[in-house]
Amino acid sequence: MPFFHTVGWKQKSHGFESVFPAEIGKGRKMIKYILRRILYMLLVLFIVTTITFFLMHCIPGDPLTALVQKLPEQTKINYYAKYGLDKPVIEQYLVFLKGIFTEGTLGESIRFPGRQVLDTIQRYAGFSSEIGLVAVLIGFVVGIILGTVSAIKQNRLPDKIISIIAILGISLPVFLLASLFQYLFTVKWPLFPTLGWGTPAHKILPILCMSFSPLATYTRYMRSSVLDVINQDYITMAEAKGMSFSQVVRRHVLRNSILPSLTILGPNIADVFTGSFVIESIFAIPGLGSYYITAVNDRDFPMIIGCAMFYTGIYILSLLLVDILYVIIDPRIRLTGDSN
Amino acid sequence: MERLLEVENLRVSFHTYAGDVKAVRGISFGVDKGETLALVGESGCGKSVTAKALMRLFDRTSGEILEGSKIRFDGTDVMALDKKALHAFRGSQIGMIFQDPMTSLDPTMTIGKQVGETLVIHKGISMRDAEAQAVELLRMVEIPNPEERVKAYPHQLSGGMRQRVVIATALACNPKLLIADEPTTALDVTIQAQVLDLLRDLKVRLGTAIILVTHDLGIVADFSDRIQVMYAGQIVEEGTKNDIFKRCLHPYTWALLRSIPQENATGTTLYSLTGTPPDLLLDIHGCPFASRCEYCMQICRQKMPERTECSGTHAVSCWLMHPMAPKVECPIPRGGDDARE
Repeated sequence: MPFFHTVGWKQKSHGFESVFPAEIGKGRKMIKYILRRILYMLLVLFIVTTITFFLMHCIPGDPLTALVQKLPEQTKINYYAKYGLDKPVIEQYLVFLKGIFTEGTLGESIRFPGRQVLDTIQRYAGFSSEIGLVAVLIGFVVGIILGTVSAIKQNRLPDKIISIIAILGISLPVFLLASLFQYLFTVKWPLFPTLGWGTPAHKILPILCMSFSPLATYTRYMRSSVLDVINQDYITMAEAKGMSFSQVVRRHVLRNSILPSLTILGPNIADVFTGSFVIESIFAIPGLGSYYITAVNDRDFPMIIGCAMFYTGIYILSLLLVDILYVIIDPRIRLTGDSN
Repeated sequence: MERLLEVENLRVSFHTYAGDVKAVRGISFGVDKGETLALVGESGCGKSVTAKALMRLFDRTSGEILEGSKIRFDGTDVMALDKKALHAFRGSQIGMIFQDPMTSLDPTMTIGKQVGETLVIHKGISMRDAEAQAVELLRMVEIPNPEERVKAYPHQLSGGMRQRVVIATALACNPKLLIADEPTTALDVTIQAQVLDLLRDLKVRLGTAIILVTHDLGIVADFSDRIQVMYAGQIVEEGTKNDIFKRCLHPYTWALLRSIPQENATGTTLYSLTGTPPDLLLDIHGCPFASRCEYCMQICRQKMPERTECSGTHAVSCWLMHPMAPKVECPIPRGGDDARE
C-alpha cells in the first residue's frame, strides 16, 4: 500500500528512529495493519463461502426434496426453476455472488418464503448475543479473578475450592447444568421463569449456564499463567521496591499473565453470536443456533450459506480484535510488516 | 565508621516436602555506612538468601527467617516491622539489584514507569512527576538520551542498559544500602566492567553502602572494602580485601583462590576442588567443609570450629587455628606487598 508511505513519519527526526522503530507512528502503523488484515479477512471470507457453497450442494437432497415429493412432474420443474435450482451449481454460485455484489442481499429462505436471510440473522443473532456476550464477559472477568486468586493462594483452601469449581465447569455437560439450574431455581426455589424470552429475568439462568464453562476455562488458563508470572524476577523486584502484593498483582501480574486467556477469547466471542443450540433449546430462546441447525437439516441453501458467512465473519473479526489487544497489552508483540 | 546494618545469628530455612532446607545457618555480620561488603561463595552457599533476608523478601516462597535472627538497620529492628512498615522500608532504605536484567524488568511497562514506581510508592508523587524524575535517574546511571529512553520498553534495550535501569530503580529513593545480587553475572565481560565502574562511581557520589553478592573473586578484589566467604550457610572467613587475598587462613578460601586461572600458568592444570557441598537438609555437626578439606582432622568432623579473631578485621572459623593444630602453610604463593586499601 504505497500511499501510506507518503505520510511522513519516516522523515520525522527525533534522532531516535533507529533506536525505537516500533514507537514511531504506532497509531498509523496500527491503522495500516488493521486495513491489511481486513483485506485478508475478506479474502478468507470469500474462500470459506465458496467452499461452503459447493460442499452444501454435495449433500444429498435440496430444500425442495421434501416439498415436491407428491407433486406432479411439471409443478416440480416449475418449483426448481423458480429458485434457480435447476441450473448447474456453478451458475447458481455466480447468481449468488451477483446477488451479494449488486444487491447486497443473501437471498431469501427457501423453506420459509418471504424471510430474508440477512434479516433473520440480524434479528436472531441479536438474541443469541444478548445472552452469549454477557455470559462470555462474566466468564472472562470472573475467570480472570478466580484464576488469579487461585494462583496466589496456591495449594491453600481458596485454590482448592476454585479448582473444584473449574473442574466441574469443564467436565459438566451444559444440558445437565441447565436442567439442574432449572430444577433448583424454578422448581425448588421459584426465583426465575423456567423458559421463554422477554423479560430480563428470562435471561439470568441461560447466562449463568453459558458462563460456567468459559469461566472454568479462563480460570485454568489464568491460574497457570499467573503462577508462571509471579515466579519471575520482575515480581520479586517490584516487591523489593516496596510494593504491597496487591499492588504488584494489579500493576505487574495481571497484564503479563492475561495473554493466554485473550487467545481463547476470540473464538469464544464468535461462538456466542451463532448461539448455543443446546442452551437455546432448553430455555426456549429464539436465538440463531436453532435456525442454523434447522437450516442445515432442511437443506435451506441460502440460510446455510448466510449463517456460515456470518459465523466466519464474526470469527475472523474477533481474532483481529484479539490480535489488536495483544499489541496493546504486550509491547514486545510487533505488528507484521514492522520490518519494512 | 557508623554502623548501618547489624545482623546477628541470621538463620533462614526453606520448608520443602523433603524437610527443611537450612540455607543460612546462624551468621552474624555488620555493614558500616558507605562501606562495600562482598559475600562470596559457590552456588547454594546461602549468599543470595542472606541478601534477600535483609529485606525479608520471602513473601510467597517457602522461606522463613527463623526466630532468634536479629536484623537491625539504622536503628530499625527489621524483624519487628509489620507488613505496612516493611513495604515502606523496602526500596526506600535498601535497594536491590538482581542478577539477570533480562528478567528483572517488567516487559509490558515502559522503563520510565518502572523507575518511577519506586518514587510513587515512597514519596507519594504522581506518576507524571515520577517519570520526570526518572529521566534524571537514567541520566545518573549514564544512559544516553534519557528523555527518549523513558518511553522505551525493556526489550528495546541491551542487557547492559537494562542493568543500568535496574540500578536506577534501586537507587531512586536514595537508599542507604544497595544490595547487588550477582549484578554482572548475566552480562558479558566488557559490559561487566562498565556496570562495575558505574556502581563504584555511584557509591562514591551517593555514599551508599553496598553488599555485593558474587561468586567471582575477580570482581571482589577490585570493588569491595571487606569480604565474607560463605560456605554451606555459614561464614567461614571474613576480613578486609588484604586479609582475604594476602593473609587468608581457611582451606576453603585457599581453594577458591587457587581455582582462579592465572595469567602465567599455561600448561598447568587449573586447580579444582573435589567433592560437593553438604546437603543443606541435614544437620551438620562438624565443620561443613570437613569432607572436602585436604587438612581435615578428627575434630573437624565432630565439632564446629569456633570463630577465631586473627586481627581487628580478620576472623576465621577453622580448627587449624587451634593452638594444638599442626601448622599448615598456605598452598598459594603470596607475592608482593599489600594492595592499596
